[in-house]
Amino acid sequence: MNNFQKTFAILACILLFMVSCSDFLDIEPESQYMDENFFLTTEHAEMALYGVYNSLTSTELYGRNITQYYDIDSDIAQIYGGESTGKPDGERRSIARYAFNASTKQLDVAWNACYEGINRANVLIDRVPKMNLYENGTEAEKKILKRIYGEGLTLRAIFYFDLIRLWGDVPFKTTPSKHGENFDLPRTSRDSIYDYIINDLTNAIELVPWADEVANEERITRGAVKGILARICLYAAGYSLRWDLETGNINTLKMATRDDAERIKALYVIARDQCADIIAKGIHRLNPSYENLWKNVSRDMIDNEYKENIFELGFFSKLLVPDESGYYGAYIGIRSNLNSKWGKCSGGICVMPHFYYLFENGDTRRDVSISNYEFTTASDLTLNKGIPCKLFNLYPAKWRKTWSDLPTADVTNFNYPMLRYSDVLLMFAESDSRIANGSTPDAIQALKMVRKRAMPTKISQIDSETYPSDFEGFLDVIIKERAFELAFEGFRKTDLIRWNKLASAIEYTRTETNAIQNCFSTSGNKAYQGSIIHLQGFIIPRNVFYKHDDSKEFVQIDLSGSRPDADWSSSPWLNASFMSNMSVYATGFRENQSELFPIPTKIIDNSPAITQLPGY
Amino acid sequence: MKITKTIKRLIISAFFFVFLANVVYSQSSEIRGSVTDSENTGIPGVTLSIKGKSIGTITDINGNYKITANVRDTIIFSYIGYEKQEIIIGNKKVIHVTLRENLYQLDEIVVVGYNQMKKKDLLGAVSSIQAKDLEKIPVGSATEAITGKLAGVQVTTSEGAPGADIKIRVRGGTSITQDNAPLYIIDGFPSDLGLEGVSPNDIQSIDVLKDASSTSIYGSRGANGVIIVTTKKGEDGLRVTYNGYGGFRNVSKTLRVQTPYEFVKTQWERMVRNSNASPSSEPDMSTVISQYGEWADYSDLYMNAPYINWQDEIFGRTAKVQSHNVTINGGSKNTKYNFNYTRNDEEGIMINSGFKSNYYKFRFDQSLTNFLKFNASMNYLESVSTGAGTTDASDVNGRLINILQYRPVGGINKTNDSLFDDDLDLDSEDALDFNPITMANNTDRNKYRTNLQMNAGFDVNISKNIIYKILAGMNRLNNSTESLYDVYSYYAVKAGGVSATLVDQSTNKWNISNTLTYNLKKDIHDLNIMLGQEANQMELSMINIYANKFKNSDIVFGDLSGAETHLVTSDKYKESLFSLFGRINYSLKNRYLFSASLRHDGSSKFSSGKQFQDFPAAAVAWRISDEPFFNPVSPVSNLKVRYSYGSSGNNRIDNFLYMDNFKTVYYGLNNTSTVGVIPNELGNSDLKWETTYTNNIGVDVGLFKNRLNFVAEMYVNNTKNLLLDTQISSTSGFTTQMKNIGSTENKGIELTLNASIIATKNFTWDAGLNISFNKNKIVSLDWGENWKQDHYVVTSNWGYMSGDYLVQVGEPLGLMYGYVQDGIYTANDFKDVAFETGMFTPGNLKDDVPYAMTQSKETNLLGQIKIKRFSDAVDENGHPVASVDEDKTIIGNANPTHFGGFNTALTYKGFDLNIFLNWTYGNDIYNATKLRGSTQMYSNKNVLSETGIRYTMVEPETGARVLDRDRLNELNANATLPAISQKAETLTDWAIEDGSFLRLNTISLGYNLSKSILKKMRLRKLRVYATGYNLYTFTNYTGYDPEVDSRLNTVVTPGLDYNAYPRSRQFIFGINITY
Repeated sequence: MNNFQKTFAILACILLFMVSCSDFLDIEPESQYMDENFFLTTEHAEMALYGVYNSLTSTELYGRNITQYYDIDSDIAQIYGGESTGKPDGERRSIARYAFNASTKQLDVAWNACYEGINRANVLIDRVPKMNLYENGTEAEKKILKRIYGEGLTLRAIFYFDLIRLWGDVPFKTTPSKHGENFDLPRTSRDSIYDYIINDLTNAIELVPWADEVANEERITRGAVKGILARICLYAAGYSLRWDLETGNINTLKMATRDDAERIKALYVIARDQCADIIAKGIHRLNPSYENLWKNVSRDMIDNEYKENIFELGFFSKLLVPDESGYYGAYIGIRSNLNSKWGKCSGGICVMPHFYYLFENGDTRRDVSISNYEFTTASDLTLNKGIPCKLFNLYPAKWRKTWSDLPTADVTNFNYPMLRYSDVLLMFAESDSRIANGSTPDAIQALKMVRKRAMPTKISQIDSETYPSDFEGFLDVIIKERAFELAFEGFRKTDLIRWNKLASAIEYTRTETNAIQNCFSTSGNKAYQGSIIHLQGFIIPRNVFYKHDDSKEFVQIDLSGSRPDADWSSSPWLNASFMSNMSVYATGFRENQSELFPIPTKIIDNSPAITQLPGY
Repeated sequence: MKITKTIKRLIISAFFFVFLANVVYSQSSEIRGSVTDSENTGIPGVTLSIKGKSIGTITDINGNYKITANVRDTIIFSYIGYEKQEIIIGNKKVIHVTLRENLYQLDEIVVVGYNQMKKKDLLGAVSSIQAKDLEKIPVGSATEAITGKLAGVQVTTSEGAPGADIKIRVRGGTSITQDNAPLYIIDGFPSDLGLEGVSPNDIQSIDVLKDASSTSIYGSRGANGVIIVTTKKGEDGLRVTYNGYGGFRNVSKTLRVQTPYEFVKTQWERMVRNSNASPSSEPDMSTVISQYGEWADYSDLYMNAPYINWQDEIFGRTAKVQSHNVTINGGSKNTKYNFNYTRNDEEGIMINSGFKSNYYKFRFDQSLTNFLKFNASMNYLESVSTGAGTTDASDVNGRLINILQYRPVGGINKTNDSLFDDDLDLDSEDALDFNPITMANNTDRNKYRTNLQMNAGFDVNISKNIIYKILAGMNRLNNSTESLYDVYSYYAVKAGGVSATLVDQSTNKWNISNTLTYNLKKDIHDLNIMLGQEANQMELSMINIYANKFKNSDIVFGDLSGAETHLVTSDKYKESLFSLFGRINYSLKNRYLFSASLRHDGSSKFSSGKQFQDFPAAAVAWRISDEPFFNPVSPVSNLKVRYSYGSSGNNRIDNFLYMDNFKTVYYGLNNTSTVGVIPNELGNSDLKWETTYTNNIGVDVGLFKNRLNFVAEMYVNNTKNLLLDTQISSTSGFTTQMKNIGSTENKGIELTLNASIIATKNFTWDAGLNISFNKNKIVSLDWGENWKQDHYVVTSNWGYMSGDYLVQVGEPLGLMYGYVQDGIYTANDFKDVAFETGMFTPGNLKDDVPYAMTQSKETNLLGQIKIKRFSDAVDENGHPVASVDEDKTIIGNANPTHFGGFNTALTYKGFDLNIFLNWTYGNDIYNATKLRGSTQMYSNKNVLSETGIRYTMVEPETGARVLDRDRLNELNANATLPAISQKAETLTDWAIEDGSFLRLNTISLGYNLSKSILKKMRLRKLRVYATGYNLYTFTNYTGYDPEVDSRLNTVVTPGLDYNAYPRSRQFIFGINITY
């Protein structure tokens, strides 16, 4: 081979190699779906939908923060901890005590999570209707895709609804985010966002089937769209903290409703009609047993018979990944030590003592919703036996590890019922009487349905109950009933805000707990003299008595204050050293200021077009 | 160097044999003799010439010669790499000469990109280390071999564990969030394993390219410097070498924790301080009394009581180390081979830890025809490191902290022995508190690694001037980590049973390069042109399995299905790189040197259109000492100045960040984790290469026949378009996006000095010194037109602290950000109400005494540290307060002012002594171990013992609580240390320490057996030696060791010491035999 040939052969080799390199650098991902290859099949659309649900279950939203950090301190619950431990701490305690500011932790994460969810929903809402199968698929495929599209609209509405009830007017974006876009958007009026999502939900109703037409699972069905639409209408029509967005003048900051009265009225009509539709449809009913309803939740069972929980948000992960498993029964729940049979529950939320006594005799909801026992190291090293709580440290107990087989972990797999049928009944009663400006027979009937289920032994008494005929009087009944029925389910604080009752409810709570504290005396407690009628004259005892009885699962507690017999042990109940959490209860609350959160500094830093809430 | 030297010797010999045939014999007598090196080995091919005459010869294969000369003649002995010698013949008939090696070898071959150069022809900044330097001080790893020895190269070992991660930075880090590791090229093949992939015994040379004129030929990834490793090749004749050593290591320092007596008093004090009892009643001390007895009895019970030193229990052992290496080297004219086997077996000083490795290497070179050569090499490494170490993310408080803080005595109703029991310590407030031995024994971690690399290539001499080379190779690296969490491990308790994780990661890589070189040497011109092409692809696949709740730990990794729950995740991707490059080197009259290069690089990490970038570079040099006007008698024997400018790139970001993709998540539908998808990232189609522009000026000076050599380099590196994961408005649905942002600058000076101080036949003394100064600065963090960013804070994530590092424009990377301590709260700082209620809360401070927001929940501030206030913030009651953000300030800087190394070597007859010191000066260390180790969040925890008097509120005689202002002042008149804190720590300047150190790194003493004995033993060489490592460290740092970096993975949080494995001192005894 001469030199020329050699050179030629080598150059040819090089050339050959280089030619084959034109697409050498264009590599496709193998562990991710490429945008252009996605949204081709119904499965793709379904996966994108579950991705949106995944946002909702994140710890920052319904996995914990929204329902367990942001819904307190209210008139029924407050954060755990007394004078020293329950003080504002720059994060969840500052949030609960209304001592939050723009650098308070645990706020920006929810903001970010909402917009993350919104973007996921925006992608779905943008892409699904453009899919070939959406128009040209089989009937079954079209049905599936329409439902997914409707659920996407509903989920996006939920994220915006949460942003509005926490921050008021917020940046509004309805398109999938693309590189190069300007994301630094200013606040948009909450009224126009509400109107937009109400319109979306109205469209979603027809797209999503009723629960009896599809599998009974943790997805949104038509009843849920309607119920959530009703809820959003009540909030859109109600009070919120408002100010002049143009000027940002602090003097314009006040609790107010939107100023177009006609629209408000229309919103109540929508709410009423949607609730009426659900009631008329008849597929969602009350579970006759309030206890079974909640036991099912803690046992991870979806009730197929009554379908009272119109929409349960699904929490599950085998390895208990917090963002997929949630903190129901683990943060909110009966306080229990890590070494107990059921593992740790922080018991991060305490029930207000007067609320415990506010329940009527015979109301089955009290002992389902509230636990008067806990599992601490102090009780017993076997820890399977509870001991009584202190009156100022009672725990919300709708989600209980003791009802499930789930042992040790920080998180649980309990679902969160985002919408229940009893809520629909009460929303109906509220909106129907609001429209009539007075209690209506339909409204009263709906209210009584809720009450009768709660008090099966007092059906006839409830039948003969009468209520104020004026709207304000009747609303007070509903406000109270919603507390009993929907306690600790995540909407109490913002409900009080939409009625513009938060300030008075906090004040009332202080007065009532004071009245209870005043009963305390070292020489034997005195009789109660507060405003709870059925409690007047009752001597709230210093100590209660308890016994571990093998026939009772955890502990038997006698609240009367007298020792039944010598086998019973004593435990402090109303005792001065356990009241210190009232000194920090809602300490930072300021009317016409604390009803919304400020925009976290971290958010404004990267989004300077968002103006701060006046006063921060 | 041995190989190239031998080859050169042979070539030169051959040349001269031919030449000799033409030599005309003159009259005069015949002189005979031998030429040997300092080890008394004959040197073949040494040129002998008679001064002023055209007569000459060369030595034969054994170094012997014969030459005919006159009595008055002077013979000049010269040989590449050795100092010239001139000897006047006189009446001698036999002349034996020992040639002395040039300390600074201008003819030394330096490997630059795809080529080699003589050191004297270098235009850029290159630091090198050769096999002969490595042989003098044996080391267990190649990284240790370069520590402190190369100017501009900073080597930081993250901790003292065997197989610990090592950070190598060439001229500081340029990037803010991307990997700043240099590019490693091993025998022409880019390697991920870096220096860990080669046995130090197999290294021929390590060349570090530092400026862009050198690195830009590697274009991509060259921005952080290029480290080129050349392994040994075969050479003529069979040679078998054995290197072996054995030795031991011990912990070099332990921290002082409180003695049992101090410990129980602290427990008492803690309980007193914790008490909220009103002044009228005494604090409830029953818990402490029930465990440790009454205060009055403490001196009797604990002053001389036996106790458990957990540091001794865990790190106290004498760990054995051994290493064996066999090299077989040989060949003939056309065939050469080299085989290397190295086995290392080290124990860690921590119980249950160690490291073993086997390294096999085979290299084969064959001349096929007169124009075609073939070479192939294969190396295989397998290693296993055992032991969970001290850093484990799943142990909330860290294993080292547990070792320091675990209680030293059982107390009055618990024997010390019972502290070794596996049961939970139920006395503790921390429910997951096991003794350190249990913790170490219940976490088993084995890291297995195999690496196989195979290269093959052809060299084709197309014509006299043109050489074509092709080199192709593949590499398969597998890392597999098995972690077993037994019953009593934190992870298992949390998970509810014995648990395990298996991480298995494989990367497959292939690389091919073609180069065509043209050489032209004509008269005064010397031209070299190279054109090349290179492509490589990497394919990674990874699988992680989490298996929770096994019935027992008997069979775990043998059958992971024995677990109750499993989670499997995996990842798989490819990335590729395609490049074209060229370089011209031209030298005029051998003294005006010029070089220019261009690399055109394409990466799959960018979108089409942005994939390719050009990286040009150019350099000039002037060898002044070769100018005719240069005075030949001046002491300056070599003088060269150089300047270079060029650019190189960095693309070390994740793949596919330029596109919008979907990744999987789960939704708990029907009690099943149902798969969903979400947008992965906000794809940035504008992403492009991060580029570093380097200016380098260098001066090489040789004095006194190059016995004193001095190299100075000055550089300015500007890195632009930094690839940074930037915060963006979350309205987008994302909080960050990868962008090209801002720029950084590194400026520095590097000085290297080598001297051959004494050089006689029996005694030599050499010394070398290198020192590097580097100044790093963030020039800008801006992106886009309307987005200016001045700073941002980052969290190192070691504890509860957030935002403990600052990234600030105009400042260097690695700023520690926290509060300044301003004394301690004394009784005089509180209002009377504090003494009346016993509540030393922030609310009871005098109106003008501020507290820090971080202390707002504190129930007993008395004796706690005060935070210096720079703002005028007030709390909701108008009380002055040190705010969370505004009063934070820069309290430390992890960047050293300078660092370097000093080595000196003495030989006397057969003995040699090498001493090596290295240092770092002017950097700060963030001692988080001290911060956490000095707090007592839970009871029964020991704390680090510090010198000084601690603030107390306990009456020394009775143990009673003191609530009287005057008595408190009296008791604490000399107190300088704060009371033990029960709260999460706050980062103050107290935890920032000077990290300067001077380490007596190595002393090695060796003895070479003399030639006469060797002859009898039929050996070529036998050396015995003893070496000590890390013998002493001069430092004011109070932690285990100032060379520490616990957060290696984040570029912006250097200099953190948390839970770092203590370093050890090591002694070895070795032997080195060549047959």
